[in-house]
Amino acid sequence: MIIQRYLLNFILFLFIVFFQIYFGMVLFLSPVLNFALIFLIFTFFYFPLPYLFFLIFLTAIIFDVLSGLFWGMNLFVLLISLGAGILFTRFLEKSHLFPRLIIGQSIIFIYYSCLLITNLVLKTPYISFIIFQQFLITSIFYLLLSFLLNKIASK
Amino acid sequence: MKPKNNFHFLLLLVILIITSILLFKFYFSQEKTLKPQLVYGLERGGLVGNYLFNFKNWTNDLLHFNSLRKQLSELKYENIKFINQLQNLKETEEENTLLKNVLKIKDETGWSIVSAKIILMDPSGLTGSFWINKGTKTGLKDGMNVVLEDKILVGRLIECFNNYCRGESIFSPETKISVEDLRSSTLAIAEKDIKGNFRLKLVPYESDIKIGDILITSSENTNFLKGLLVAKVKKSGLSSDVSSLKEFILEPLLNFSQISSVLIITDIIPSS
Repeated sequence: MIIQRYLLNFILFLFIVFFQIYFGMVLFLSPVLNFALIFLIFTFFYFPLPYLFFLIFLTAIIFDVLSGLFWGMNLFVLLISLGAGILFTRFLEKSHLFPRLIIGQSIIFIYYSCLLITNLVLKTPYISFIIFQQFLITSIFYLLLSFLLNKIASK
Repeated sequence: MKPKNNFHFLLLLVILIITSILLFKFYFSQEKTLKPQLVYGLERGGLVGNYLFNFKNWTNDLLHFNSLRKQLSELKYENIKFINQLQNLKETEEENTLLKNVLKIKDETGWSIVSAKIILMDPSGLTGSFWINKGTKTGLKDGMNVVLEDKILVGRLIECFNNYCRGESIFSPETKISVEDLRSSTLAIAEKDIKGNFRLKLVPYESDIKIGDILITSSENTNFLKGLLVAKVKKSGLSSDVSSLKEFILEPLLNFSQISSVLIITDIIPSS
């Protein structure tokens, strides 16, 4: 039963990453919804940390190959943001909706703040509006998905 | 009982640290191996990707039903307009021939060109990077310019492996291109703004740049060859900082729907 759970999650992970790669493919700079990050946040709530780190590694490799400013950038950003999420669970209960919303939104905020800072330091002399747009759409989608899943679970 | 627990905890901690170090070491030492292998794997998975693309287009059409209907009526109206404009086609044709002569497209450049397919693009929408299906085996090298058939600048190659190369498009955030107005030969620098649009900034007020002018790369570029098509002047306005300077918003000539295959100029590497 446990193996089945992991297997299902991993298949879903592969599907979502694949979906992200082929749906989000853009040559123009544009706001793209970060499905992979949202999936990692939900995995963080329901699965143990070693498995989460395994998924983080896989996501980071794919994102570093396709869109990193430097090799390892996505690994660091994901580790920092989800690491912060782990810290938050020391103060907040991750089995309830409201704390989950706070933790998830904080992870998304830290993730995009790290991206923004990296871009600011390494690439552009201005604050990228596209990163801000991505942050907004990802956090709104996460919010909606959390409410939806909570409603489904409570039925 | 307690010292035993502490010992177990310490042992676990040591194992965790060693594993983390090994993982990090593996991750950072395998960059050159992982990149081409992953691109190969994703390219093979491209078949499913194509189905997803079709599905994406289908859902997109479904979600934008009203706008499609609106577009249809607009197209009908435009169709009538085009029939009326048919009379002016001869003039346009002449203008095109003139432009082609000025640009000395294809025939007169004498560049060696390799064609390649774009197989993957940036899924984060932040870097504008892309992967093509040709690499060092076909003679491609870092820094080579990537263009479309009409000499429209796409970008340049950043890193090359045996069978694949990664390129960076002109939409990359830090892109600055030295451009020249094709009509008036005025020089300026096109750069990205905060929203990702191309702009000509700090252009002297008396400079001869008009809406609709076509901009090509000038010889001042370190990364791009001279004479490649970049953008069209879309809007003009006063610079917010200094009123004696003008600012222009540009419309890139690089059309997203065109990009499935690209050409790489192999005999001249601008940065080398």
